[in-house]
Amino acid sequence: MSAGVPDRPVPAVAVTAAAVLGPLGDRLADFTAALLAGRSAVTLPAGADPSGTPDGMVLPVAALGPFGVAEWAERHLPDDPERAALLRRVAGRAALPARTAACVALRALADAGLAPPGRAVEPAVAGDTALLVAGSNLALAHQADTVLGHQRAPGRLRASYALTHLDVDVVGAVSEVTGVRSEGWAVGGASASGSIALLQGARMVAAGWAERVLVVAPVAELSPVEAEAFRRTGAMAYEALRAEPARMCRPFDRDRQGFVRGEGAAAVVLERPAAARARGAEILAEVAGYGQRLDARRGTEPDSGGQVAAMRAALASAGLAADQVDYVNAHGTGSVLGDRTEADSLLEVFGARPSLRINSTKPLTGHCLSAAGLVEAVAVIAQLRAGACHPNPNLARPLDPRLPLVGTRAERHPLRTALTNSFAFGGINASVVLRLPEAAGPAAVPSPDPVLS
Amino acid sequence: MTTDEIFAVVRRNLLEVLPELTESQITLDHSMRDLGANSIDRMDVVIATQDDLGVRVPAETLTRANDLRSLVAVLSEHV
Repeated sequence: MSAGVPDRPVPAVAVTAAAVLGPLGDRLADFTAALLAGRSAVTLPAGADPSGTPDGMVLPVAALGPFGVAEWAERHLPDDPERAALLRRVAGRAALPARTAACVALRALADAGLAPPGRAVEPAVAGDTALLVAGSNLALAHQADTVLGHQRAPGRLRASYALTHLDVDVVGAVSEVTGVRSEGWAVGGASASGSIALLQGARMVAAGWAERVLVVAPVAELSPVEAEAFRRTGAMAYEALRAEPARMCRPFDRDRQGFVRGEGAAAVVLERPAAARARGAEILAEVAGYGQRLDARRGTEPDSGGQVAAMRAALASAGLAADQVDYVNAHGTGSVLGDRTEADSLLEVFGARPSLRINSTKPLTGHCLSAAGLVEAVAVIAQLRAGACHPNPNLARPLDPRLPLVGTRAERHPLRTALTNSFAFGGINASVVLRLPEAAGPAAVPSPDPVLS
Repeated sequence: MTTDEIFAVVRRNLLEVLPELTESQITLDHSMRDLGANSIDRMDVVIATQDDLGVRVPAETLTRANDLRSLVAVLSEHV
């Protein structure tokens, strides 16, 4: 046990909805099928402006593409014109983070059985539901566009930018479209934001601060400036394999060259298991433990000590030994130094146990930055329920033969307990333990069998 | 510039800020508040309209306009 707060076992918290919105799908079943098929959303955007890049090389991205709430509402709310109109009115013109967050939050509440079509969320439910939004500095492209627009035409600056540049615009938009009105705020932890929001939401439920918590990770945008700065840190893939962009993000492969940005949003509903059972809600999974540790070092370099401490804290709070974990969703961005460091941390915590599976979802989804932790928590839940691990299609030459990595094919594997990692600039390490509920068996979700031969 | 032309500019900016509206819903008898614009929406419409028309109307004058007819009238005094 490391220094700091003792890692006492914590009460498990039920996940009663797990929603996603991204290029691999905007329904859990579609997302699960895409993952198990090993489909990568990474492309080199055609028509992107290469002028900001010194060598004219546009960056690969797993992009959401043009996203409008009206089109989303047509597909997800066909029987609910009032809610669709509310969504369009509140979020239709908002920046991408608020638009995606509002939609994925509505999907999660509906999947949790809390937002029946044609009826508002029950006032008692709305009043008892807190909201955590994962991420900070979310609308960076909107900010850059506004600054450049202001230089060109100062007279046109919208008064509403006073609101739309703030992360809390997402809190307000989600709160209005869902009606949720207990506590709420934005949780900032860079690339660990999604995992930190998830664990803080679980703590809020466990501590009784809220009856349930809606945790929402909006799509995090970058302006060309942040994207280029990331590239200049040396952490991004862009040079090799440009003819085959789906192969560019290569976690734990010897030929990895860096991370590829992804655009994805996710939302989950958390509540006490007894409360979920009492209202007849299906418990998809449980948040069984969590740990967060700082490296006490400013910067961008990973630190194995902090990673190991976060993972051990998560296991201790779940009351688990390392050999009880079946699956690890690594942070695994495909960065040269980051993957090597995480590999060392994983070997230290788990040893080289062949029954464990270690994997990264980022070759498929890209690195969703502040949303990554929550998008990947949903991916973990999908795999636990499918009883199968998705492939890492780009793992041609594993960087360390001792690591029990999932290979280039999907794999049926007995899965009950998983640990998911998110590590961030600023020396922030977060790990969350997810597991299937006691009574449930795996394989509740039909899997596309052809890829699971 | 005629008041009809000024109204057309106001209407276009209203539709941009509140895309849920249809053109026929917007009449001179309505206030922007009637049409669902909150205070920040109203500022967005007024700022964009002044920019389109190339005018600057003192804020206190604008706040006295309580429907679109009086808004158009105030704007037309400054065009």
